[in-house]
Amino acid sequence: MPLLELRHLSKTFVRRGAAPFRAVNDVSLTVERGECVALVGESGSGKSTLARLALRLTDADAGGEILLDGAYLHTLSGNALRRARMKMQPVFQDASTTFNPRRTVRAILRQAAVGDASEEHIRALLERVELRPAATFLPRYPSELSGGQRQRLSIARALATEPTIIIADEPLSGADVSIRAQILDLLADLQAQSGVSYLLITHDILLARAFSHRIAVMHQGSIVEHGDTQAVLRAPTHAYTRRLLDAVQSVDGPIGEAAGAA
Amino acid sequence: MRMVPPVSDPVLEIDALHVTYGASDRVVHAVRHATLVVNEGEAVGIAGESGCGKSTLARALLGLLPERIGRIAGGRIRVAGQDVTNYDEAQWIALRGHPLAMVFQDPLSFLNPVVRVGVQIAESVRQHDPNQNIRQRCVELLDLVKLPASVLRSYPHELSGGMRQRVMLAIALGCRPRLLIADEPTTALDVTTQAEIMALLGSLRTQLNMALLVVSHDLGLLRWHCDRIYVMYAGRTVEWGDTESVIDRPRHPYTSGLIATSRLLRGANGRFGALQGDVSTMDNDDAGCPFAPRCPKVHAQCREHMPGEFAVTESHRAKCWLSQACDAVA
Repeated sequence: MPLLELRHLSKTFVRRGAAPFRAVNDVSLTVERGECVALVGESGSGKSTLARLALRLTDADAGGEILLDGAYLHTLSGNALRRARMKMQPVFQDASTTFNPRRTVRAILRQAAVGDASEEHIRALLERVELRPAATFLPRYPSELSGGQRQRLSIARALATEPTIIIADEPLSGADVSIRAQILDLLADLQAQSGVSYLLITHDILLARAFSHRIAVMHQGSIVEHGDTQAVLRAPTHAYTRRLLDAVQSVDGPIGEAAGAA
Repeated sequence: MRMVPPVSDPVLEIDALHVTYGASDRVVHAVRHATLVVNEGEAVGIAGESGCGKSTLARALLGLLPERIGRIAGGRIRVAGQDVTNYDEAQWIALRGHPLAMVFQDPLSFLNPVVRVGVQIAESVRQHDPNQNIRQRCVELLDLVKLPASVLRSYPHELSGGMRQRVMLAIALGCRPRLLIADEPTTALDVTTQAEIMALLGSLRTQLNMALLVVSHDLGLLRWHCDRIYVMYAGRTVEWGDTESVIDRPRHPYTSGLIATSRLLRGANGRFGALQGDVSTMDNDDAGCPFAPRCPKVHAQCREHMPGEFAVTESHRAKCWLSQACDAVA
């Protein structure tokens, strides 16, 4: 049984005076325990909307189903939803906009750590994301942290409820290259320690290649290609995947055989 | 020590440039002793992470440092042989657009939201080609950036991110620049759009015989679009040379680290992170190499003395004590 299972999710946005817009179109996706699945696509592909649907931050059109650890999530509401969702935590691109700027690191984590808001637990969270020594970070405000430190704090906040899956929407795109690599190491370490799964939403194919076991390529609301990451990148079958690969500019040149690389 | 023997007069020459921010009680040295040359028609990249001074350097070239806060505290900027370092505002205005024009990362904040695109392009044309048929020239400029003439009647918000960047380009090209400075020109764009814009810049460069100075954190992008690359760290140009030489045979440990991390591949130790720490942890002290606190190959000398410029090859230089041995050979 997959840890997270999305079945036939669709999302239609209706605006007065405009044709209804189907941002996500009948998408099904699974994430296994301890697995990292990358959802790759460009802006407007619907990948972030899909993440919001999975987290129930937005409700999907009728007919779709979301199962977390075998339990239906799409039928829950109120406290039942909140409880079930503790096992599934988001990490967003721009960490600074997800913190209350007037709360200290201690207050932010205390609020997130619903089960155990003790000082020891909060210090341990900071240690796990390598914000050391923890004591020096507790009284600080988000604005007093560097971009990389803020992203670590948002990961610590996600870990506070001991989630089984983290849905990370462009978690590295605001960060510098050397910091990106450090955060990637942190995410890998956390997975090795606790077996947490990731649904990684990104436009960056290099990141998907580096970190995911499976990849799903999204284009205009649909998943156009999915499979084992290395296999898809080596021999993409969909024209859009090939276009994405061709556009990647890495220091080593085009990636994958599709780009005609040596 | 001169770097490359110039074929013709360089469009741009920066020599030991020093830029500071702030008043006397708290001064930040954003650019220190930076050296850079852009020759006629050449594409040059400046690489570095946030806070390395690359955008400050680009802004200093056009006299765009924040008023009363930023100032050029030393060194020289020469544009087409002319020393512009001590220009006043009126002289800077005359310099902007032609021979130096600039496009920025976020076109939306540089385009007027309530004025049609055509009027904004016409403004640049009128400034630099007052005797031309303005509309005809505007259409010609849009054609150069591969946009249809109908865009003239659009407002910026009606255009996609890629189209807006093309409009910015059209405005810059309206000034007939000899050097176009592009500060993170594609960072906010999707990968496929990014590839299109960079290809467009490359073809415009040949078509108009225009030099390019591309400022970017993305070494991969610079690798494919620049003849030469300068790597900056903590306000200094720490390594530069022909693109292939710098990317394939980096000499400065910071350059090696940047290249390794930009690949996002696991290293021999199974880790992605080849560079520990972050730029903000550097202190602003003058003694010693600024990279020493993060450098995997640091030794005693590095902490005490700032390395000078050593020649790796004729055209490839590194400010790192490890390259001292090469210099003796070269």
